[in-house]
Amino acid sequence: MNKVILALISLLFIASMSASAAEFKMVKPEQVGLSSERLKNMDQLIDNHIHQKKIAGAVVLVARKGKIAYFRASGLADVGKAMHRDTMFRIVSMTKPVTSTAIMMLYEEGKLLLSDPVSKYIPEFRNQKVLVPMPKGSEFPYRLVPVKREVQIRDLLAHTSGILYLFLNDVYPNPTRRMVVDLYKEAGITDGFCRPDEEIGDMVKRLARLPLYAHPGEVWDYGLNSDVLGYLVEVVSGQKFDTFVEQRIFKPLKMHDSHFYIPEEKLPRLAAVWKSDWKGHLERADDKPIISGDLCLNPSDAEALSGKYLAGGANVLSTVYDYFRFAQMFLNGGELDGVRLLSRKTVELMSATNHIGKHDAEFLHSKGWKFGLGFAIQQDREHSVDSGDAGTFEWAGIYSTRFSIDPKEEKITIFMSQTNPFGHHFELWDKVLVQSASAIAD
Amino acid sequence: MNQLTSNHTGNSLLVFFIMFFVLPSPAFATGPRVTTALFSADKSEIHAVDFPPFVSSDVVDGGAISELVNTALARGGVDAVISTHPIQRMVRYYLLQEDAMAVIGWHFQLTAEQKKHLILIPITRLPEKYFYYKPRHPNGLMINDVSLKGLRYGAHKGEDTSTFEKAGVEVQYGRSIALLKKLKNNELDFICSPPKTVEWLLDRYMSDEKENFVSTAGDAEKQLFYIVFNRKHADGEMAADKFNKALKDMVNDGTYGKIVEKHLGKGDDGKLYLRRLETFK
Repeated sequence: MNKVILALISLLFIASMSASAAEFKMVKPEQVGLSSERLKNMDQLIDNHIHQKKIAGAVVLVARKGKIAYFRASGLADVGKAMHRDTMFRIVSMTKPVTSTAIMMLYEEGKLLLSDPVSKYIPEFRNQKVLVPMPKGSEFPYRLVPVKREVQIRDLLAHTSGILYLFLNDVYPNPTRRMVVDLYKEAGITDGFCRPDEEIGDMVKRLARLPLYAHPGEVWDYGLNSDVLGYLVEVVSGQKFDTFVEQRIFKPLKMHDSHFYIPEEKLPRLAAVWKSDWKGHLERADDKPIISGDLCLNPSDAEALSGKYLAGGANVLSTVYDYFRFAQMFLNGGELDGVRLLSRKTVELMSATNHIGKHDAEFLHSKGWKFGLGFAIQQDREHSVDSGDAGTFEWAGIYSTRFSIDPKEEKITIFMSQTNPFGHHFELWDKVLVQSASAIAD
Repeated sequence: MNQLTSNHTGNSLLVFFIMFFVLPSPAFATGPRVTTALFSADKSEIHAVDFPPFVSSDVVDGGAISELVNTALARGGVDAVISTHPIQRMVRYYLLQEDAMAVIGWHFQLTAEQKKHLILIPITRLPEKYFYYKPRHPNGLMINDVSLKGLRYGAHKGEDTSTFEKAGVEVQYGRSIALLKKLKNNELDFICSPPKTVEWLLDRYMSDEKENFVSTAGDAEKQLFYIVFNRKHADGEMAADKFNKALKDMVNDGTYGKIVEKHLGKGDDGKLYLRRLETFK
């Protein structure tokens, strides 16, 4: 009898091991129309950057037709600790597509419409004003004029609300932006990269009562919109934002290593953040916030085991493999392994290029890129990553993470490092995408 | 003339305020969970800075002062709603740049020229205390002219800090919750605030630290909290008259005291009205 039980336990153990192994199952690149030989260029690209001490390490994944064909960890995750495929990263702004997914699930359930004014759910958004600068010498440096129309949920998803990020004040300086950012600072609004000790709703309700930078719909400006959306999920669903995402997205997609706050047992898997001057000086960031102008980053926030702040624009920690599963769900038209989160029509809507009108999503990209409902979309070929296809959608994170989904080629590329400052990384990310695209061999 | 009227009204209100504060009365039922101001786009706006638990959309009926003002407005037939702002600068902007009908608040630092166009009506007098973080000052903190030099004071925008500055105190500005966090982080030595505000903020944001924030003996200051009507607004003077009369009536018929007691009364009844309005599972 005991032998039977022992055998059953052994079988169960083997079964669970093989299920786990299956998650990381890879195919030969040639099986999915990729060239092994050409993918070696990816090895060289990353290894050269590590050798030149531009980055400490990275994990890169290329998948095609639903199969992982390239999945390589290289360099260091921390001092004396090798990078692994299951190393965990601060994905920061790659949280935004997750938040958008949560909103679109509520949209599909009939709980909200994209054209709904946000004030319908968060009353503080009522009667918003736009800051208009006054000529020098005026008694007040600005006037506040009523919005031509209210901020809608679509504006938050597509970043056309007129809500700003503080740190872009350094990237796109102008007096109007400066005045709005000064009001943000005075009201205790932060970008959330140095996590404040409050609930997201507290921040959102203050932000809503501060002036907008531009009239809703008349600008594309990357801002705190996804953070507002995270709170909107709470209001509409009645659940805490992290609970909703964990129950409705992470768990069904088996994203077992994706969290808002890291479980203690996974702390050893968290990559360190490295500071790089891109000229060979690379050092591990210490526990203090990294402050540069209006940008505040606090890598040690990711080590907190619990906390109140649930930022829909920045909070999530994840792995390359988990994010691959999330991306594959999108590539499949909203479904993965029999679990459907979104309909094909909703994914098409999210990746449509009409949401920001005449504007271009000129932050990570340049002209020729639009913004959908959570990520940028290549509309035509005016960008340095010409090897990608029109219709490719992607976004990135400020500690140097990036994903790209090419529906035409059924290809997903994910790069994750943890390096600051992010400005140096645009070229590396683009080269990773070029290597991924040029490995196509069918 | 208006100032004289205002001061007289203020003294009367103070007597009633204190009287009703010490006399217990039954609590009222809870009211609407979100201030009506947030749903009323077309009415005149009365601007106020967030000042929990007295003026805040996070407490029932907007807090004690909001309910006093709203009741007086309704009784006086003044069609206006309170809009709260996260920073004092915006309230000042609406008063002086947009010629809003009225604002609510204190520490306005108005010039004599600006006051000519304004009608200040005191709503209540709020006692303030000096608070410090006990682990940083385990032997207590003396706030007097001799002991001030070298200390760091956390002020709210608009506060008159000239006395402290003359005494060699470094002054930093911020929102109340930010100042409390700075006390804890040893970036400040003391702040001045109504005890109810400190209690509410600590309950909400730093409940496990509540015992560490202590006040010095006695009241620091007693500041008048005003509603300021604007003569430059077409309805400003008329609204001020109506409001003033309604407020006096509320004091005389006991409504004023009941509202104060409802929000700030001792024991659990009062606390019912200071709780958070929203919770998510």
